[in-house]
Amino acid sequence: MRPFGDLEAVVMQCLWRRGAPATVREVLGELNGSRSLAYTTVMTVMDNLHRKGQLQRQMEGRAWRYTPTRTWSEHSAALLQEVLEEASDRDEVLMHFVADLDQDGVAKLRAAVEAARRADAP
Amino acid sequence: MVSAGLLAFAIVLAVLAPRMVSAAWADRAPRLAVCAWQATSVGVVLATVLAGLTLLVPATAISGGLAAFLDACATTIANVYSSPGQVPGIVLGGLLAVVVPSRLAFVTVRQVRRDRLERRRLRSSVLLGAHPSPLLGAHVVDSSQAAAFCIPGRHRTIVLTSAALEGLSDEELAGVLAHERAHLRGRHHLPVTAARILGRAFPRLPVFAHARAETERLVELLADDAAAREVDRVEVASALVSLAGMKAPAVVMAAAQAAGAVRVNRLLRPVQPLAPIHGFLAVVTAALVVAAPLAVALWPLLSAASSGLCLLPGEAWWA
Repeated sequence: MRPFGDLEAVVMQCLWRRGAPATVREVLGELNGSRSLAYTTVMTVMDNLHRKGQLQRQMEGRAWRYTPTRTWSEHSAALLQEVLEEASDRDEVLMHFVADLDQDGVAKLRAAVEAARRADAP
Repeated sequence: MVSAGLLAFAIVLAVLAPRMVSAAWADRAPRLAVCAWQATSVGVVLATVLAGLTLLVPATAISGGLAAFLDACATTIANVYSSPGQVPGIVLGGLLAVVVPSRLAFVTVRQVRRDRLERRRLRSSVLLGAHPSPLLGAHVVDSSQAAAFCIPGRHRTIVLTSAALEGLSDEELAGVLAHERAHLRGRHHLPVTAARILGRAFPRLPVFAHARAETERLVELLADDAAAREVDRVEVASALVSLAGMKAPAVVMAAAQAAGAVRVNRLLRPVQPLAPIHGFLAVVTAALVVAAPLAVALWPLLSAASSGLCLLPGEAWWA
């Protein structure tokens, strides 16, 4: 799964915020409060998102109405999962606070930590 | 001769460095050890490229348009470098002097671009659903998986998952945040990225793979030390164990397991910092490793210039 591009993220965020299906024109209207975008730009972005399976659409009247296929929390959970699996290149740009320990190692070190705590306590 | 000497220097350095920067003192002075690895990498690359350049000296000096009046000079320079000036030498020289820097430049540009893009994408995706917490100085993401990490770069961010926030005690949390802040403040991603670039550019050379693994390990120790200055060391160790325990059980490689145990034990039983004299020696050695190839490569040039047959760049030739 690729993360969203800049504009894709803005469009997805807008749709998630609305919580209801929206046409390109409606999304454009909402986005143009903060930045000026061309109709065709937004249309292309939403069309791409549909092609990638991120948006589903239904013809209503003469226009498509788009809805995200996944909820906001489902989406961020899936992305985070990918980051935490440390399998992708993306993992390289992060610095994890992590120590890889199996259960046995955790138990042993936990005991050592508790012993040190007791020794520190007056 | 000079070229052979430089190549030998690069090889000896590449072979000896892993033994010289041993864990025994590196763990006691992680900052110095990171510098030592960077110096090693610079030294190896520099010596190799200079070896190539010195091999090319006769070829360039003679084929250049200046040959007419620099003939005597060129001969002198070629003599002092005693480069063979024959086809195999020129090919090898070209390979080392052109291919090595080009490959490095190519991989650097590609890596820096890719990293920047990935960071931006991460920010616009993972952080999309995050709640900024000014109190913690971090972004909190809802997730049942406990994790803490930071995204370095221009817009630095610390990210915690809600599970980590709930599972850690206040003291442990302070330790985690101090550790991540130390990464960002110390710009630990810079030496790590440099080491990664070299490893990618020349994947066949074990010295760069070693440098990369060690740099990644050492910056964690550095951040642990910084955290232990702000928060009780035992709490930082405790946070490490807690987070490891909260992670989903997985097959852990022995090396990773050992590295984790080293971090915890090091926090529980603080190591003696390196004696100042040893630290000083390490700094001098690191400086020499970089300066030596330069000195070796330039020495014949200087001696040729002082022979009087060559015009120095500042001197007018008609004088």
